[in-house]
Amino acid sequence: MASAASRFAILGEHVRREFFMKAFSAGLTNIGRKRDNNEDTFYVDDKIALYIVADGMGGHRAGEVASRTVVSSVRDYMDAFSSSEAAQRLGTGEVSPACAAVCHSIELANRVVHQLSQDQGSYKGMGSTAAVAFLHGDTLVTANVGDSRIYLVRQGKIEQLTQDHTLLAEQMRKNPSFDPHFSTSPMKHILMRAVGIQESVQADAYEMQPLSGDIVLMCSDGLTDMLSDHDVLQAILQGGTLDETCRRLVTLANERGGIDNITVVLIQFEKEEKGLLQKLFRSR
Amino acid sequence: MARIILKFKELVLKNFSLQDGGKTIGRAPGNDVVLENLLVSGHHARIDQAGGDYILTDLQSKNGTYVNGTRITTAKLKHGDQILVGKHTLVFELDAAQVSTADKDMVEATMFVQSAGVASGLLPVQTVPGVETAAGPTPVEPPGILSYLSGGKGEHELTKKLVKVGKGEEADIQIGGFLTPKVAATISKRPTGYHITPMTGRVKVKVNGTPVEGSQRLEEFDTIEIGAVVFQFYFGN
Repeated sequence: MASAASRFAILGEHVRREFFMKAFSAGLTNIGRKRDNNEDTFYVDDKIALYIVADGMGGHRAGEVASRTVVSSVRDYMDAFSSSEAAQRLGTGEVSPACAAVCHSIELANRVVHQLSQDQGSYKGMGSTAAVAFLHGDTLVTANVGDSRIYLVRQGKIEQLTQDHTLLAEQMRKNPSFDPHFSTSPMKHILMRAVGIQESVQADAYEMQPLSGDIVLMCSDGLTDMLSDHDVLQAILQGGTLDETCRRLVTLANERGGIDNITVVLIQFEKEEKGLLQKLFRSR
Repeated sequence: MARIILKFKELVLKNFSLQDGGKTIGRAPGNDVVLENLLVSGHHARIDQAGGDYILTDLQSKNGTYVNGTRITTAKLKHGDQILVGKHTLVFELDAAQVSTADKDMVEATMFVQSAGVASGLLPVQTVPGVETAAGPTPVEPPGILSYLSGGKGEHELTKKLVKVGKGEEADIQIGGFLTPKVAATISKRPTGYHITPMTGRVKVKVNGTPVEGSQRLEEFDTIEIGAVVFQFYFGN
C-alpha cells in the first residue's frame, strides 16, 4: 500500500511540474577598423530580460548621443512596465501588452531624440536605429526601426526576425526580381525609417514562443555588412560560451574589413523548472 | 546644386533644379517633369535625394528607364549621367564643387532618405492612389486562416502576432481533447511567414502528417493536426 501511495505522490509531482523560460546573454561592441568613433550602443539585462541595440547617426558626437538616448529611453520605459502589473494588462487585439509596451518605448525614444535634435544645433538631424528584444513570461517580443537586425538560430538554422527599413530592402520586398548587388548598393545604407529623425515613428514588432536552446542574435549593420547570414550561423554553431561567440563574430567582421562599428548581442533561452531549488531541499 | 536638364534629341527643353528634394517623371499631369509621349508611362520614374546622393528609381514603367544605355530598376546618379525616358533624355549634373566630393564616403555612411513630401518615413509615392509601382507601398499580406477539417466548425483568422492554440483560458483558439494542454501550440507571424511551434510533448502536432520538430513554417493548404483536431491553413483575401 505504501508503495502505491508513494507512486501517486510521484505522479502528482510530475503533473505539477511547471517550467519557465529563462534568458541569459552576452554583448560586445567594437569601433571597427575605419571609423573614428563608436556610435553603437547596446544594453543587456537578464533580470527583466530586455536587450537593445542602437546604431546612431549624425555628425560630430551626435550619433553617440542618439543611440545612447534610445537605449536609456527604452530601458526606462520597459523597467517601468516590468514593475507595473497594471501596465501588463494593457494589450490590444493584435498584440500582447508586452509587445505594445516595446512599441511604445521606441515611440517614446523617438520623441526624446527628436526633441533633443530640435533643441541643440549640434544635434540637428541625428537619429538612430533601434532593435529591441524582450522576454515576458514565455513570449519573446522583437521589434526594430532601421537596419539593426535580430536573428533566431534554432535547430541549426538561421532566420531573420526583423525587416530592414532600408531603400534596398523595401525595393526588394516590392519587386522580388530586383537584383541587389549587396555589398555595393548605395540603397543599402539609406534608411526609410529611423528613431528621432521625424516627429513620430512606427516600429515593426513580432511575437514568438522561444524554445529551450534557441539563440537570438542582435547586431548593428557593421556585422551584417561584412558577414552573410551563413557566415554568422557558422560562427554561432561553433559553440563555446556566448562571450566567446560574440568575440568570434566581431573578430570575423574586422578581418573582413570592419568598415563600420560592430555590435553583437547574443541571448540564449533555457527552460528552468519552477521551484526547483525548493524541491531539492525538500527531497533531502 | 544638382539639376536635371531635359533634352529632346540635342534640343535643350528645360532645366529642373533638384535643390528642394526629389522629382517625379511621367506622362500624367501632376508629375514634376511631365513628358507628353506615348512611350512614357503615367508614373514612369522618380529621383529621390538621400543624403548627398540622388537615387533614380524606375516605377515599373512599360518601356523602362535607361541610364547611359543600361536599363535600370534603380541607380545612384553620377554627374553627367544620361537618363533616357521614352525619347527624352535627362542629363543629371552636379556643381563643380559637388563633383569633387561626391561619391566620397557616402556609400558607407548611413543616411536617411529626404525626398519631397515624405511624411510617414516612407516614399511619397503613396500619395498617388491606385498606382502599383515599384516604389509604392508594400503589398499588404493577406491574413492566414485556420479552418477546421475535423474536431470543430468554422475558421479562425490569425490576426494576432502570436496565436495560442490549446485548452486553457489563455488560448486564442480553444480546442478540446482529454490530453490537450493549456497551450498545445503557438503560431507566430514573422517577416518570413507564419510559423507553428508545438509546446509540450504530450500531444503530437503534425503538419501534413509529419510531427513538427521545433518549429515549422506554414505553407498554404497545409493540414495541421493537434491531438484530435485538424485544421487547414490558407490565406484570406
